[in-house]
Amino acid sequence: MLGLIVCWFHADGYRCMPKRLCAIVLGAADSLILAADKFGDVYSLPLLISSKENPALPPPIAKKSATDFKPSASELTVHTRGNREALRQQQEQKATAKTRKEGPNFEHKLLLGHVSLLTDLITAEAKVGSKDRQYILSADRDEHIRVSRGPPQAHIIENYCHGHKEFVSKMCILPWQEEVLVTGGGEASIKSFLWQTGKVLGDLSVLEAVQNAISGSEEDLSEHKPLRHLAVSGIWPVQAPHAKGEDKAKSSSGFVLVAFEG
Amino acid sequence: MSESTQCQHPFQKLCYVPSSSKLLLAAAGSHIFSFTLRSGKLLAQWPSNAQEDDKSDEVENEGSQKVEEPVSKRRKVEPIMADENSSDSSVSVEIVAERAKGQRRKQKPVNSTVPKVSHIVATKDQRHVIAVTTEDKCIRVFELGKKGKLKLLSERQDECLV
Repeated sequence: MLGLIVCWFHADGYRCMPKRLCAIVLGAADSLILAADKFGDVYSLPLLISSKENPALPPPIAKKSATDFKPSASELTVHTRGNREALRQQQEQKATAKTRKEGPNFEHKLLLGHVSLLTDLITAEAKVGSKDRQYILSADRDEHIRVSRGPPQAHIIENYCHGHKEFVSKMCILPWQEEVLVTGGGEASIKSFLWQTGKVLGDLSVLEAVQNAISGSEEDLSEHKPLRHLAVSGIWPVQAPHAKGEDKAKSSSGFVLVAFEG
Repeated sequence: MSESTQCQHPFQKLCYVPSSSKLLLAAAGSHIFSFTLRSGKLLAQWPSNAQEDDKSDEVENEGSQKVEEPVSKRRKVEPIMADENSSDSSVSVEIVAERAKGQRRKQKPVNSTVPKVSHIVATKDQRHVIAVTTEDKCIRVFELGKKGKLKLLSERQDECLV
């Protein structure tokens, strides 16, 4: 008599990346995780672990190569106590030679790389001709904002958004105007670009406004040092509520909340 | 929030999930809390208290195995016999190494920091939540239940015919 037995394996379903992650975003209709690490690399991983993988297993250890380290000396050629001790340690080192670590053993793909620490990662979509194309926007500590095509062509750089003089820390695409990118970084200003072309739309300095807000505050800030440097730590778009009769998804205005540290 | 929670870390990440219960996922240290914005009530947390107890038992077992360590190097200073006005500089300081020759120094205690959550992202269909932790550089994917419960996707199904 045939029956069906369902076996459940319990394994910790986490995936360890080689380097610490700085930003994470979902792509390809939420079926892919795009992760940016501190080495400047962006990886893509499937959202769900396939049944063939078991990320709980340790990464496979590389087989020892045939050319292991071999001390050129032997017990016949060394005589002093110190040299014999050094030879013994070298031979022990050979026996327990460190094996090379392999990369992660779950499905992942390296999409693109910066030469500097990545700070933010977002995805965007735009119509090119009749097709909807996906893009990846990545920002790094060296003032770069790179616009790349989406997977599988993420190695193709469409353009850069130049303008920042300090590190870029946050990026945000306006939901009501998806061609506009708002960015902030280690300067006391917020910039906006047409990200598809890299054209700078605006550069708003906020140092004076923040200083006025602080001096106008009721709190006693006399002990605090005068504000000289500001850095953006967060940018959040807030879409205005749609007017009566207007399509909810097509509300055409809003405002942006920006958090500064100084 | 209307309910007090026993969080010891400040909330470092928030993620809003526009589901029917209007969920707010908040990361504090290594925990993720699910609140409903309708009432501010805490619905669930991850890891749950039961999972935490299991893990703390494991850590205790590991810790007890590390009791037998070589004794650390101690510094012994001879008592100064001369009076305060003495300018005699012949007082010697003896350093006594209490570990045997060839033995390593006592190892530092294992850093038992639980990895902190640095990023939380939810899918648009509100079915999955992805969390990234810093110290272990891990990505965890959870299934988000209707009541805000987070279930780590950890089960694999294998079918076999008997």
